[in-house]
Amino acid sequence: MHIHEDQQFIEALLQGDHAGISEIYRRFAGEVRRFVLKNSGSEDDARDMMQEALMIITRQAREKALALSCPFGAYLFLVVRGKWLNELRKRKREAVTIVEEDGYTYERQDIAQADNLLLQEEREQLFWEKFKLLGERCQKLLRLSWAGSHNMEQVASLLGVTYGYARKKKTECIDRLMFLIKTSREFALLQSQMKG
Amino acid sequence: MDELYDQFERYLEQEMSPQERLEMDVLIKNDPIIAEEFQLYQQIRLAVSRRSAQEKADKQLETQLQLMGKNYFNASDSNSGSPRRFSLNIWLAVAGVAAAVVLAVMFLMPEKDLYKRFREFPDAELTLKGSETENNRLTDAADLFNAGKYDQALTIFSNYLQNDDPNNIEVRYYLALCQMELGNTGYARQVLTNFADSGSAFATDANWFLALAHLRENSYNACRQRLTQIPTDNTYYKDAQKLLKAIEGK
Repeated sequence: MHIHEDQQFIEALLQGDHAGISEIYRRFAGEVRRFVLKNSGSEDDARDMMQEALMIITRQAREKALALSCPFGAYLFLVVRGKWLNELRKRKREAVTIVEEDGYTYERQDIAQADNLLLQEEREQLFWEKFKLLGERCQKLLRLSWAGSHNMEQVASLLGVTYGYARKKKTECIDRLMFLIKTSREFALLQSQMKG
Repeated sequence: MDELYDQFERYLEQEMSPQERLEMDVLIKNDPIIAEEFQLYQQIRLAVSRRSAQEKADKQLETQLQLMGKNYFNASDSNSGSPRRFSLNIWLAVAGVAAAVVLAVMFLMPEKDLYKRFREFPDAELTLKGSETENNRLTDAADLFNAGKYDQALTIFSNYLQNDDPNNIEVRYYLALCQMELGNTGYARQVLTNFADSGSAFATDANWFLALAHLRENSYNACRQRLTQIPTDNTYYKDAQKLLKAIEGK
């Protein structure tokens, strides 16, 4: 697959390169702003959308070795578009209609793929937010035991507790996490979007 | 269901005997509900371990983007090259209507709702260092707190402070949260202020809950003041920013 020259922007995000990220904002912030303002959003919304879209792209690049085959602006805009559509749905606006920007053309499958990626991202974000609501000890225990580098005996030893206590506590923490996720309104909404 | 997650965990951690593993394979293969639960469980586990491993890098990038965003979005529209299509009068009219709608929404929304919208307590986890009876009492209280039964949790916490360990800061902290939830915001504020100003492990979170206590009392300036003290790396930073927006102009 031909990798687009704009891959440099992905690298800039991965490296936290100030000049590269600044260039991203200089070139694309205006476009994001126009789109969000044109679709019922504010200046703050536009700033948040730009930031969140860049975070999503960076995570994708890190976890799935994202290789750009199209211009960076087109990809960024697709993510912003989907993200903003989700945000409008959350704000419970009836019959969300997006006023499209000129400039980029997408295949239907590209949009569907981006929507799907965003849905996964929103789910992951929800899982992470609920995890952060757990008590400090639960977080530490699950971080250690899910990192893949320690068995339960080692986890117990690192936490200075007995193996039996660590096991029992882990079960409690997992049950609590699953409860927090599954009883949340956001989870029900995301599940219905996935099935719909 | 809880037992099922334990089984999933043991399966994924390779802690099952070959026979147990085989039975689990069959269960996942033949029962679509179990299969769906297993898939969800794996996704949650993977998401948490990924985010956990990248937390520091994510935070750094987020801070960098926040600063960059302020440069490019708070400035007037000079970077966008966006043509102004409406006359100033129309913009003023639109802004007026928008402001009226925002004000109407703000004043129609009772503060209790705003408080409820933002109030999400962390799980209570208490250090167990007393006798078995004392530990059991604290575990019960933590369970009640986590289940949202604040009045019952409060009774146990209060008794514990009176009879067992008056200086237990964890118990004092969760007791204050119970009091706030039950509407005794004055008491909650007093205790949480001590925490916020003490530099203890609870200090930053205490600022967030203090802000909520002020919100319940409609003391917006005090609420705002606490919210602005929450650093960007705190769990409640994003909520604090949202709440600041929600009470803008009050």
